[in-house]
Amino acid sequence: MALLSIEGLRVTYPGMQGSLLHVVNGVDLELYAGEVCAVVGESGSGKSQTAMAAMGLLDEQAQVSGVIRFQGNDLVASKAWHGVRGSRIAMVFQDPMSALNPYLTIERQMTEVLMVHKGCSRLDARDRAIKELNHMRIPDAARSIMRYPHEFSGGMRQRVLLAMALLCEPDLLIADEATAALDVTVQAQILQLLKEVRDSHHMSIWIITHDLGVVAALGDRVAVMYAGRIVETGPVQEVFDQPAHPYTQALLEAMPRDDQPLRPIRGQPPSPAAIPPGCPFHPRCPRCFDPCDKEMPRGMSLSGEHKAACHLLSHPQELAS
Amino acid sequence: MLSLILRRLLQAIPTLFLLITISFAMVRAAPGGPFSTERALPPEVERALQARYHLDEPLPQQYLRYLGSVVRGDLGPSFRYEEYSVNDLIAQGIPVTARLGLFAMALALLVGIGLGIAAAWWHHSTVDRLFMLAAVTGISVPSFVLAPLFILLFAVLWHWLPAGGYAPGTIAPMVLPVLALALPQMAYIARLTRGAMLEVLRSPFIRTARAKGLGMRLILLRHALRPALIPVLSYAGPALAGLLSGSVVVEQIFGLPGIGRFFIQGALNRDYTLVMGVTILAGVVIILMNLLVDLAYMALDPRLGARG
Repeated sequence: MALLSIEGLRVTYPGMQGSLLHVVNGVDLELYAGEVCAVVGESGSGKSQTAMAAMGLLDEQAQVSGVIRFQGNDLVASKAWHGVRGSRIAMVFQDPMSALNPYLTIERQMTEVLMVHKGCSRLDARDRAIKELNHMRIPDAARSIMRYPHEFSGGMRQRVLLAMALLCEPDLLIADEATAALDVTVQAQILQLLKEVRDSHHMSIWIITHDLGVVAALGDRVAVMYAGRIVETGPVQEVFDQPAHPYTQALLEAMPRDDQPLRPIRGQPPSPAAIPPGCPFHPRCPRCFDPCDKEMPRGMSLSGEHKAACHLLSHPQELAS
Repeated sequence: MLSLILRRLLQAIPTLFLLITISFAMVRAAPGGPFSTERALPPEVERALQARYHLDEPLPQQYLRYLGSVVRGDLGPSFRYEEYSVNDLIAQGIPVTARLGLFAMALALLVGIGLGIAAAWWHHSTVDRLFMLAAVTGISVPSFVLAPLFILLFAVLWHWLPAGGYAPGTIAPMVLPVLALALPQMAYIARLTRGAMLEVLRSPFIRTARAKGLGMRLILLRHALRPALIPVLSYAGPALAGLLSGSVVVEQIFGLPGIGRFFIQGALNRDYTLVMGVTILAGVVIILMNLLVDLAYMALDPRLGARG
């Protein structure tokens, strides 16, 4: 059974003049125990909103429908995030510079997690926090813990945030662009740390990123999102070797390579207020043909786990041409 | 921190010097003098009085004489209250004014911050709207309207509290003036706190706190309150300075013998030294309050503490 399964998740926000912003439009996603699942897509593709919905952290204006089942409980219906959020599911965010409270010591910010979720005493919580900081290779953790966030570099702060997220030994860690704001060398260190965490803590990791390099480095499985939908999903190796959806292909081709000029995807992702009919990618798709602007393609299984939603797959003659 | 205090106190010297010079010029520029009365004094009497207070000297000489005595800590004799020096008068007024101002500000901060937090907690609800409606009303109604209203209701109509007067060591006469002073401040502080809280609640570190699964109480009181207090502090410091250098209107209405009342009397009577004395006191209090606010910033924000 999946640790977390999302079925038909939709998130809409009220927009200007009674319009609706369709941010997530029917996402199905399953995460299994012990795997690293990477969700990729451009900014605004709905990948962060999907994760925020799973954490129950969306804005109060957001309308959420669908099912988010975590360890058997539907969190959307029951709203029972208490005891899950921060404890069973933990999250690390993009910008470590602003994600820590500048007014409180690291100790305060770490121990409160354990005191709230595990009912630890302050001293026990402190010991466990220092241990976790050591795991994250924070130098001189026993003294560092008494410092304030501004006394740490960006990379160190992300380590602190990671340590903080891991305190309750969650079953699932969501890393939302956790390396995007960091220098390349620091990025590599944090990725290495995430790998170690995956192996040592036996937890699932849900990575949200726009960086295919991060996916390749860490992911077991990848889901490609576009305009609030998952357009292709499968084992990382398979998707990278044989991308089925033209969007995935374009994303892979857009990756910077040393010897080639950049090949960006033409056009802009659609606004959530005006998502094109049919396949939302069709205005930008180099292989757009007859049904693409009218019918929404269904997800089709290519081989086992590898699935994609594209009309080409059900029109072999187009695929060949 | 000590160096900051010393630096600020040194910086205060030229500020006070300017304050004294400008207000000396302004006070002397006002028409009339301390001894002009409806019935003209005999010229020899007036001359004798002028000579006694050195008012017959040329202005620059008077200015230097005054500056010299201020440096020695002597604010000069009062022209109107013959047997008192300005130092005596201020020493009499300070306990009254300080009690009034401190109680009013303490009440305003306590209740105002509390209401602000509550409004942020129940943001967009009826509670929030009610509080903010009350706050806008409170800000719009100044103390000089509240004070007579309170007297009318609590003193004249219901006889709960005295309408004025002052006796050292009694609380009852202070209740209404404190309330009249505190309410508008309280309303403003409540709005300020609510706004600052809502602003802070949008910051990324609050999102982290929510993602950690903390309850609303911890998020508001531990994570959001401290940063939200900074704009409140920036307001409360100078506001308290204003109250401590004499709540002119309220002291007058309730007949409290505080600094504010001396200021009015002094200004009306052209009691040059008294007006100057109160002005210097106000300057000193404002400088001290600003220093205090800066020290409080350092206590609140660890990023500042490290640098200072």
